[in-house]
Amino acid sequence: MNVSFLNPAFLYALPLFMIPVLLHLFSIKKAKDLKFPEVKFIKLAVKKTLTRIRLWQFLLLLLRVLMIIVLVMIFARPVARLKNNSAGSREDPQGLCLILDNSYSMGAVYKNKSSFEKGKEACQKLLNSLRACDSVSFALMAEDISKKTEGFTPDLLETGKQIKNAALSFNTTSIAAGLNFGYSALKELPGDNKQIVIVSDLALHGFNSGLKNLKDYNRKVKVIFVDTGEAAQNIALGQISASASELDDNVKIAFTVENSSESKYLKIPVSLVMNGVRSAYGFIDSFPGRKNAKNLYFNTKGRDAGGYVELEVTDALLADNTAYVTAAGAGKSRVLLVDGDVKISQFQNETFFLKLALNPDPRFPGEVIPSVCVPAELEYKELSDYRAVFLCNVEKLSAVVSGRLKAYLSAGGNIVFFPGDRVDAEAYSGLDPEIFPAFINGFEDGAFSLDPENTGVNHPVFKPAFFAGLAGTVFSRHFNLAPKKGCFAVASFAKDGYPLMLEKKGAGGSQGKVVLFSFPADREWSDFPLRSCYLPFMQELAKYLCENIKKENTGSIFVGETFKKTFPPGDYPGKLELLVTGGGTAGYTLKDNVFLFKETKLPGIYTLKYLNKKGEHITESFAVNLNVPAGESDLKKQGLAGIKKALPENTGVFLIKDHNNVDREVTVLLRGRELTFPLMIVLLTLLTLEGVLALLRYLL
Amino acid sequence: MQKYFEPAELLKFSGLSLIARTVVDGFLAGLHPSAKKGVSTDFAEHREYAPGDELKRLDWKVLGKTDRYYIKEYREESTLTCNIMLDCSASMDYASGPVSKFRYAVYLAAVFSYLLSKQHDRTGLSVFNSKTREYISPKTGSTHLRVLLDSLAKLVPEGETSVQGVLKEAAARLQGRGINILISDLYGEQEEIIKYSRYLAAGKNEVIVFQVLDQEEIELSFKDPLTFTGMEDNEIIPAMPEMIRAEYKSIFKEFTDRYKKAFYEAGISYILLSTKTPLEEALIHYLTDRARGNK
Repeated sequence: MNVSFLNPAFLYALPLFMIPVLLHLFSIKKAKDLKFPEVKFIKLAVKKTLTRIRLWQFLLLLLRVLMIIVLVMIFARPVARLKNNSAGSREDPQGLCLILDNSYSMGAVYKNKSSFEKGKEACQKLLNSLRACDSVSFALMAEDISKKTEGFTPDLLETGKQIKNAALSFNTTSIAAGLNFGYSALKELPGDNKQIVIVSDLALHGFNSGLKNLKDYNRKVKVIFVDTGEAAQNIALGQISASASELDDNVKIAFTVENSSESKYLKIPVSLVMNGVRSAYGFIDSFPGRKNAKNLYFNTKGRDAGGYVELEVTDALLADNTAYVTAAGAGKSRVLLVDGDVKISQFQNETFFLKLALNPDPRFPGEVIPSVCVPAELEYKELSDYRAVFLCNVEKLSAVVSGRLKAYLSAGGNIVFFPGDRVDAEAYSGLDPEIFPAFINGFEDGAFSLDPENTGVNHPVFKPAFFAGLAGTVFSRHFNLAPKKGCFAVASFAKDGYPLMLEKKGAGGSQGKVVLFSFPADREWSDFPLRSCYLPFMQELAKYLCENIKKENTGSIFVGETFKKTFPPGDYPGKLELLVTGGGTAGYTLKDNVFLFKETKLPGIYTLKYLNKKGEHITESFAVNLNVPAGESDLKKQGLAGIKKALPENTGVFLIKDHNNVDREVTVLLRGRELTFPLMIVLLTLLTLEGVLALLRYLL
Repeated sequence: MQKYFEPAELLKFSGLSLIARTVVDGFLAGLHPSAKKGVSTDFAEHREYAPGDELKRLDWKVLGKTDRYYIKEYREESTLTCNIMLDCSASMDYASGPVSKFRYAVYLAAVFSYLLSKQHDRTGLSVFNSKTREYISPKTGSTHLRVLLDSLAKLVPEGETSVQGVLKEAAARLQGRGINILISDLYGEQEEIIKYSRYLAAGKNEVIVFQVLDQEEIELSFKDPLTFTGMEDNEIIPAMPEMIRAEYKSIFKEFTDRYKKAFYEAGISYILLSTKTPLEEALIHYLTDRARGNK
């Protein structure tokens, strides 16, 4: 420890300590003479008490000498500084690189105040303790550094505002990143009086790596850690994944719960919320100090889903009680077949052949799962569960059904019309062109076949392999369909040129389609259902309709990680939109078929929408979660010994645990501790001892 | 209201005769007549007449009143020889207050001289330091009392003490029954003093020892550091009284306790008097001792 004096001139008064010595000697010489009758008893008493008297005299003399020395020292105002704190002198300007940890573990709340709030208060206090000659640099530290001041500034007011406006991130801590930043920043600063102050909860995770090989490391720079965290108990959701069943639409959401406490066992309620609806609920046994696994199940009904698992527990850190997950449907598309001509025998049903074509073996569901209903059910059926609605020989559509179909179409649904003898042509012609974009002008009887000049060769449904079958199909009757605006004919009959199939895309940018056929789905007007091409044709039709809203699940990444997607050659998207969690869009880079998105700052579900070269609307989603497996949720703290061990040898490391008095502690650390007050205590103690000794003089 | 004179108040009186008379007469006047049979009253008690008793000893007044025969019994009249030995060494000159040890001892000697003369006992005086400086043989009468008092008034303390030598001489000088009153601070060879005191107390002799000390000698209540110089041997001892007081008091108590124990074992009356002790207390002690028929 080095000691210096603020008023060293007073040290010249130190010889005053001789006063008691002189007084002592003087008082002995000046003892009065007294004639006494018999001195032998006095002589004997003196002899017996001599040692004690001399000790007493020595102590008294020593106390008085010490009192004078202490008094002189009080006036000289000594200042003590730690021996290894030798960089710069007390008066030198100080360069302070103030780094506040804003990793998500700093959000841990203890006694109604988070570690981050405490950290901000500590930073503010620290700022207030600086002098006009000092300069400061302020940055936020998690995995990355977020500079809040440009270099070092003497503008403490502005830095104070930056501290006030500092916000928590969802990243994990990296002390190495903070120190690297601090050393690099201080490198440019002149002088030797440099410090890095890291205000953090000192979570163990932050000290894991990179601390031995620091960039621009300078041994003279002092590193001061200010501990604002509490080793509170915390429970966090760790790894989470979703896996779909091959046989059905059930998705298993597997996750782990990390209980970082040492003694607290809990049975925690946990719920799965998918697509905004609580889909599953359960309890998990959370044993202390280990990862506890749990599965919840969810039926996707064939659709992709996104949501989160939530622990219903109140602990120090709430952010890590939620983990986001996306679940892809099993790839199966549901379609609704509306049978307008139901018979007692299913073979005579309007939808019999269509249903058989879409799902030949009901024991093993194919890619398309058809469901059959009657027209009346359209008034209440949840249409959004189906990718396409096939209207087969439905007489007419009520206003309610028309309205629902229009809404369904706008939401991306697809409608397919197969006419029949029950169809009210006039009613259909008068429908909203959005849901029925054609006029039915009666029908034609005869023997019709596909026009070889207009086979719809460019359409995805009309595969060349089907041409032979289609060409041989004989249609005995067909409706005369006249397309309305925006509707186009895909294929037509050879004899009269009437359209065989019409198609219109949904209005207002909707991804839905309306497909109109001029013949029924059964074999009443043709032998098409008996043809070998019927099944693949209908399958392709269903896929075509269903895949226009294709979704892909891309899994989960951690906050701060970069989302990367490489598009296959030729599938480079012309237009791309990224919807971030919480709403809004975000910027990204798209170069050389590689899509990069770095700003994964918030946990949640992110959605990527684009149109591929085939013209398909692709929607992909991915979940961004807190990096709990890294250990950030474990609130156990690193001690000074551990910090010293992690850092390069001979680094001047200090730890301030009392963040409430950080200004005083840092001032003492950097500029030394003035010893006037302790010396006054010493002086009072000496005075008291002197009084006790004086009292002993009478008691002896 | 105090009962007795403070020794310091006696300084106001001029002349030992007046002091002695004031103390003794005042003291005796305050005593209840029936409390003691009295040393100067010969009557002791009545007893019934027995054949052979002399008729002249009949109490005729009782016979007249009660018609019963009682004989008046009287104490045997005897004349005591009392020798007052007064220490006149330099150490007796010490005074922390208005009354020195020597002045107090002189008062005490005068008081006893007066008391004994009043009882018609033969009173002698032996003044000593290292040797007997003056000796007045025991006699009775007012003239002798005057001689004693005049002699006491002229004394000046000086020289070293040697009580043992004087005791030896006094033991040799005494003939028949007598009382020896030793007034001294008893400094000297303690065991020798005890030894010769025993000699003196042998036989029918009575010895009463008054150890006269100043309060400071007992308490050593000085506060400031002092350089003590012996009044007889001039030995110099610097000391801090406050530091040694407890030890000193312990040693000094051991010193006086040794006398107390040894004198008690030898049948010698021993009274420790401070110069602040009223003289009457010494008289009380003496008279109590006499009434108890010590010896």
